[in-house]
Amino acid sequence: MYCICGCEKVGVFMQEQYPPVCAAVDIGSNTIRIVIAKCMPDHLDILAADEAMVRIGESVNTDGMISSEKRKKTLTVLRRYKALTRSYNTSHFFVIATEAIRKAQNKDAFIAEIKDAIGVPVAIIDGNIEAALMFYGVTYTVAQDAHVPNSVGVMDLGGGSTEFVLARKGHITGSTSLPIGSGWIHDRYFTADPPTAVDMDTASTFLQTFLAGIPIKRFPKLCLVTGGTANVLLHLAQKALRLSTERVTLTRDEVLRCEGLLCSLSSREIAERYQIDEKRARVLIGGVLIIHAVMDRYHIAEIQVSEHGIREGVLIAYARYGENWLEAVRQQMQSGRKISPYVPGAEEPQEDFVQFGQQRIHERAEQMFGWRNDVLAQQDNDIEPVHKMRVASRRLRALMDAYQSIGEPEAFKYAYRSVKKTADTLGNARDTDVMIATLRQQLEDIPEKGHPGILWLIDRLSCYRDQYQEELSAYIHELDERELMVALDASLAERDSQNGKS
Amino acid sequence: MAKAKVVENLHAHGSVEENAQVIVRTRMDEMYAWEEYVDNPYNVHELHNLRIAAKRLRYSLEIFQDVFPEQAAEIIKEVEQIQEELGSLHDKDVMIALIRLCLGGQDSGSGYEYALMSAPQKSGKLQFAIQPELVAQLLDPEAAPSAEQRQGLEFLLESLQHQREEMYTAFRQHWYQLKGKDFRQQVLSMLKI
Repeated sequence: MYCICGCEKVGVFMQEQYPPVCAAVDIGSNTIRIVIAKCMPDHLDILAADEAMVRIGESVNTDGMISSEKRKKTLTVLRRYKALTRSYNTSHFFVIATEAIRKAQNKDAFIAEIKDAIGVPVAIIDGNIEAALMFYGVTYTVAQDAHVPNSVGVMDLGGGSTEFVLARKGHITGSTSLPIGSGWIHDRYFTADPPTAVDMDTASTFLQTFLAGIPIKRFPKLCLVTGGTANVLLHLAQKALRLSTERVTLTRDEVLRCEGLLCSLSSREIAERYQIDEKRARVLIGGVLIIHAVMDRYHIAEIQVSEHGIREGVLIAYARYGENWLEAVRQQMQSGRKISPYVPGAEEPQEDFVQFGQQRIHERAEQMFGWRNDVLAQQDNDIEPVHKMRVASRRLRALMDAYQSIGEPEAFKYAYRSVKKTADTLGNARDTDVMIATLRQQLEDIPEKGHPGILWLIDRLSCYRDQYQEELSAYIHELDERELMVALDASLAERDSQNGKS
Repeated sequence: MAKAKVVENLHAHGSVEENAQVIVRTRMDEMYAWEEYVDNPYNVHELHNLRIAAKRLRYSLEIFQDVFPEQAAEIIKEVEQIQEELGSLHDKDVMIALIRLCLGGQDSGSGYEYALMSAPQKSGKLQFAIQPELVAQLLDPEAAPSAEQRQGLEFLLESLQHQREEMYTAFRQHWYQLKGKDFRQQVLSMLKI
């Protein structure tokens, strides 16, 4: 079995009898967190962890600077953490900073201030390094699970940025860092506590548009989400929805129910009822909206929340690569999008037939739905959107025809029927459009003697086409994109054996 | 329209290339299964099925184009042309059927209309390509064509039949041109099928 991180099993401390105790602090946009652990290349024995909500991002979002109040609070927290590291006799103490510090105009002065205060340099890491470290930190705990699917997606929802990492068979295949986070959404879109319906609509519309443009086309079914927001959301769901405290997963429905709760109660009420830090409760809704939008964008039915993240990633990276851990991670991320950096000498995994099909089916379905609004708008009697959506539906159907024998029978049948009905419904409109266009061409090509007949036929066909548009619009409007996408995903699920040959 | 054949002997976790070869082979066989009907211009139904099979072959080639040699692009072009030729032929067939329907319907009364309306319920060759709602629009007694319009329709019908003949000739010529260079075998060799 491979390690989900694709890690090099022999790390710098593998041979030592007692793993070193190290500490890592992550200065984020919302929180500052520390973890102290005995560090091994594929495991951390966590001795202590803590977090403090400082919301540096709040002042950076306001005027681009870290305010003196936030600087003071940060230094107080870091001094406390420094003391904590002493009590555990740590051999190494790492401090990293992410988005809020990255974009603060006075970051240089601030990190100098931190070094003076605690004697530790601060590494400001870029979004790609952040993504890689987060991936290490989140996935090392699930590496031993025999049921981990080949494809894993990790999302680190921070206060000022959100990182996505996609991996297949332990190799990172793509990552991206988005400059939006729970605090950012809150500061930019929410005018009241709880937010108004208009605030929610505006933020949701922004997120839908923003996510539609990001380069990740498809997200694996196993979606691990980390970051303070995700963990507090899980806590809220456990308390408010009476979920087991053992549960680490949240369905889309549960996320929506929590969103409803956060829209109905003020952050103070949320904090009091569910024992959540009030500052955290205030920005939570921003993060929940992002999770909701991502689940909708990628048709994710369930997320798995991880309490680990970038701090654990720093410690794992240090255990694997030693003193030059940051440079090692940077080099790996710089080597390109499709990299296989974690097992030296290993070949990049080849996409198999099912994986190829999953990817293409998803892309083609998205192309088909991409024309939906244009078909419904039917502007200036433009016949192209119907044609384009029909072609996309036929291409999708042709792809499904190719994969039929290895599909999951029930899901496949449902999805296929739906795609076929869509193609047929659009086809009927398109055929009439073509007939009308052909007849218009005939007006130019044949003598006038034939024109009265042609014009009569165009009139009859146009009456039918106008009448049919209502039926077409109703069908396209009712077509449940999410349901079909879920069925399409399920119709070619990854599994060990197939109806054909495995 | 004939259903797409279910492609057997696929390896779910095998390479894309190896499976793509099996799929394209199946679609090629499907297309050539209609070859015997190419010489009769009045095999409307079979020529339509040949067109659908060509479209499936083209889509399959496009899906897996990246795993085939570069020459696959040329094959796709040829198949696309066949598909378009047959597509234009089919459009003319539908239009001719539509005009015959209009002229016949006006001449033959409700019995003819009933027969047309019930045709979509039938299967296979008996199935008519025109929706019942469209038939109702065309045979609406309140919008019946005038004598001048009928004359125009007759003229259009004649013109379309002539155009169809030319299209069929062009398609058949192309088909035999491909046959002359053993296109089928060329494709199989090029794609290593």
